Amino acid sequence: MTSKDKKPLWQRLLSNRRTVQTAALFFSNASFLTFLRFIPCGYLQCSNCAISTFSCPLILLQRGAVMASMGMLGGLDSKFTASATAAVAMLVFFGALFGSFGCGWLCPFGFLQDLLGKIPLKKITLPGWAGLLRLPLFAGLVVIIPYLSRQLIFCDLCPSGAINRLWQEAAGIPLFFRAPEGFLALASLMFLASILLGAIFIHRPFCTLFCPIGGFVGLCNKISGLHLTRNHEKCVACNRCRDACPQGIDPVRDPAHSQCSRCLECSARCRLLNAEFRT
Amino acid sequence: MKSKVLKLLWIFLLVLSSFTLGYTLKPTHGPRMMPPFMTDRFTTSPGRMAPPLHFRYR
Repeated sequence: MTSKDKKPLWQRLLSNRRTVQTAALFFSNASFLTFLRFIPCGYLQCSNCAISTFSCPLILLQRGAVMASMGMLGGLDSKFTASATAAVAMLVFFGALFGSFGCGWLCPFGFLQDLLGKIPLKKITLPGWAGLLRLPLFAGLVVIIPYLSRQLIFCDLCPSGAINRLWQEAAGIPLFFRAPEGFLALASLMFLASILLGAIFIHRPFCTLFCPIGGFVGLCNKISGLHLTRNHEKCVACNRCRDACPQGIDPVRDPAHSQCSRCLECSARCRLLNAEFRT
Repeated sequence: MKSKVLKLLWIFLLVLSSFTLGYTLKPTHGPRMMPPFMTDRFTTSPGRMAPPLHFRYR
């Protein structure tokens, strides 16, 4: 290997994804940082929690939809309009800069699914079109149904929120907002159980099939500053990168696939494939 | 390599979203500011309630 093939320092620092994910888990749930709660984050992070650092953009959007349905949205000076607009702006900003990097490296629920995926059982690879449901889910569960029903329906069903409720109830910590009741409570627990069970056999089933944030920032992979580049001169298309990809994507053929979570496992396997930041 | 159109779109999105964030992100805008009627009964349970008639949240 020549010195030209050696990866830059920041890429070598990123070679330990588990450490970054663990750090992000604690940083996203740090009680001494809750004064940052007015900032929506670019990944799924339930903020129905006394120690959550950031706000989940999805609850801000749903809240905006509920207020809009009541005719109380107001202008940009209204708190609800401002926070819902900030949530959209943060998703666009984060997506335009990093694409779905937050999914692979920062999202706590993705981290949990990654850990479950380590259980050595036969894995199923979902087809590339499996993620197409995520954008209709974004529109339906985060905007349209909250607008029509005046309920924060995605939060009621969100498995990340269900985990938050479970551990807080076990620890005796009061919830930040509220918990769903009746059928929705049961449905969210069953959804959580099926996602956790599915994560043993499928790589990140929630992220791949359902996550609205993942659907949005995954779309931004096409234009994001952070993207995968390949050394065209030396690449012999040995498909090692494709075999390394837990999502079953071929990074050589489609380096900006919307289902790519930018976990950079392909880059770790092959030195000719690098994550670079370029305008 | 991005095409010129994608690059322009990228710059447009970055500028627009950063200006929007600058305008809308204020420490008073977090979920802590949720009015009381939304925290428990209003948007959550099937027997939800309407907000008070005089209510104007700004």
